[in-house]
Amino acid sequence: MKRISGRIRLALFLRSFAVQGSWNYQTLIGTGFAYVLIPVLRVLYDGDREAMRSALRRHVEVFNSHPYLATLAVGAVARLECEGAQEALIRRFKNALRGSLGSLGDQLVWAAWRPMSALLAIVVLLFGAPWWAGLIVFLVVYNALHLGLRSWGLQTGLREGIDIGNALRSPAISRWAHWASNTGALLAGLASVLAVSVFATGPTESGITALGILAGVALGYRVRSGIWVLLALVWIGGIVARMVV
Amino acid sequence: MPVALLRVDERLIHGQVVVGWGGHIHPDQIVVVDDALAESPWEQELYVLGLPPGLEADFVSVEDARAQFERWRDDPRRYIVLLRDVGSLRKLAECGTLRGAEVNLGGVHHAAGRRHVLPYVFLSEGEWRELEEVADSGAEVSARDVPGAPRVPLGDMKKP
Amino acid sequence: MPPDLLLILALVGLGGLVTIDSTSIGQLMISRPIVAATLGGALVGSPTFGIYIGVVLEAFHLTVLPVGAAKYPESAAPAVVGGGGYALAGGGMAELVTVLVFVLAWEWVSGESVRPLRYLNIRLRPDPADPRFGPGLVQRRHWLAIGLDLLRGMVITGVGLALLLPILRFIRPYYGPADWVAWMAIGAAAAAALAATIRMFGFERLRYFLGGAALGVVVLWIW
Repeated sequence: MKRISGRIRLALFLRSFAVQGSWNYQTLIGTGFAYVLIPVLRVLYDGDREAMRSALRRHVEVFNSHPYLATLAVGAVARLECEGAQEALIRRFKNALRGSLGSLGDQLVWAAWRPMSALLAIVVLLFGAPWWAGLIVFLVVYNALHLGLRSWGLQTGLREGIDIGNALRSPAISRWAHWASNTGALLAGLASVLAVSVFATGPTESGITALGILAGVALGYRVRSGIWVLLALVWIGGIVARMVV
Repeated sequence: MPVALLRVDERLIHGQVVVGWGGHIHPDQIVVVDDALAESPWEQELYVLGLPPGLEADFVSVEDARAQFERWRDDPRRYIVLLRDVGSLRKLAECGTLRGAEVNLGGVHHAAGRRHVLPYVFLSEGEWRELEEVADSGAEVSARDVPGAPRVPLGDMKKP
Repeated sequence: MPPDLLLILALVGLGGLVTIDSTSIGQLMISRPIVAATLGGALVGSPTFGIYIGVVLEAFHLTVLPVGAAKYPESAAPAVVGGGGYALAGGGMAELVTVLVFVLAWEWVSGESVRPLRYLNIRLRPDPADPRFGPGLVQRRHWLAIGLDLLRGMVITGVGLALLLPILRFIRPYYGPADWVAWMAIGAAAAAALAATIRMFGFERLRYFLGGAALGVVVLWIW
């Protein structure tokens, strides 16, 4: 089996940041996945144009994943390619992995870690911190997990290959998601109360603004349309009020 | 309605199902109906990685699913039943298993021979005929990728 | 006086950069409204105005999840328009409401504009039957798609500014007096958006939410 050098690992890591660059409705991130793998394929099939083309052909096929966890698939598939695995096996492996990587990433990153990081920054700002402190809190906390996941994913994929399930089954990822969701829920409660106190100027206003919290809990995902209607009414009302007065 | 969602989605267990639909209907059990997967433990292992803690998935063949479908419907627990392709759905619908059931098309992506119907649904002519058969057997077929999106009934789709 | 053309071009460039961050390259989340709007404001010389817009927009955007091919409003370039526009207008309550209403609508337009690009990308895919098919072609097409996304972000930013800035310039004399009503509505909207995230974290975590709220009340009491 050919070894994957540190220089190639670095190339895979850097290319992984662009894995979603050519998202399309037919093969989703298929082209991007092939793009990320190219440095490995160049080592394996250098000089053999036909072998290179057929390897690329199986990797531009439909694929999807959470962008950060795509490095797990990249690492594992790179290893399978180096081991000379059968095309049919690689295809079944990618199909089986694709939903899980999306789902794990959605639960951990999009639905837990990112809102938690943003809420933390919002809380810091509502406490009166300067603008740059809010930005630094958000970007550092969020990207600590982001960059950690990309790098862990690539190393783990390269090490485990087709046995990647062993590494992923460890409860660490769901524990993190669980912890981040709990913390996020706590910060959401804290932030809503702080928002009321920041925006409301007197006790009556506080009461009315606090109704927003109840409305938010009741509306859930539909809160955006409610907000848009409310603000649009205030905007139009402001103009009408001026015309009448 | 203990089969809370019966869905054709070639990605099977993934974010839209677990986070999108799961957050909406809070299932107790996921069942994947697929002949090849029912016999392939290593692939099953990869598919279940994306499940949130506390939720489990069973992998059964189409024939077993047909035998058990009635039981799932009467079970107080809430099921999400997933199929990989329209072919498996057609086989499941044989003998009127799906009479009165709602079938959700969630993700059938591009492949050779398939043509664009919706951004997340690509079908071949053969698959379209199979869907019509399923609808004729008494099932209500429509497409919707996530719970908040509009539901597109089979009758409103453009034939590929 | 029309704003400096160079400044507008800089905002347009920033809008393109944060747009590709959201999906195409990076996902470092400089595309989130809290960052993008602040950078927009900072470019104009007022990060503080930028972050006012950014925090409120971020709160509104928390429950938007990018799951699969589903349509969703896109926050990146519209937040630059909002933060930059608000800073150019020099703050103000009428301007704040106007910017928020406009950006919420513009986020939807921005999200819609993703679709034609993703259809175009189908046609730009490297075709395995093409005699030129190889690493070079894959890489060129991939970077072309990223370039188009950059361009899309710049157009969304440019057109957004071209619409928002004139609206802002004319709104002041026509907007009514009740600033406190607007301020309260924005506060209620922000509180609602922040509280709505409990549905995303899972309603079974309500006790954490209530704990956080109680903590907030205690902190405010002591403060």
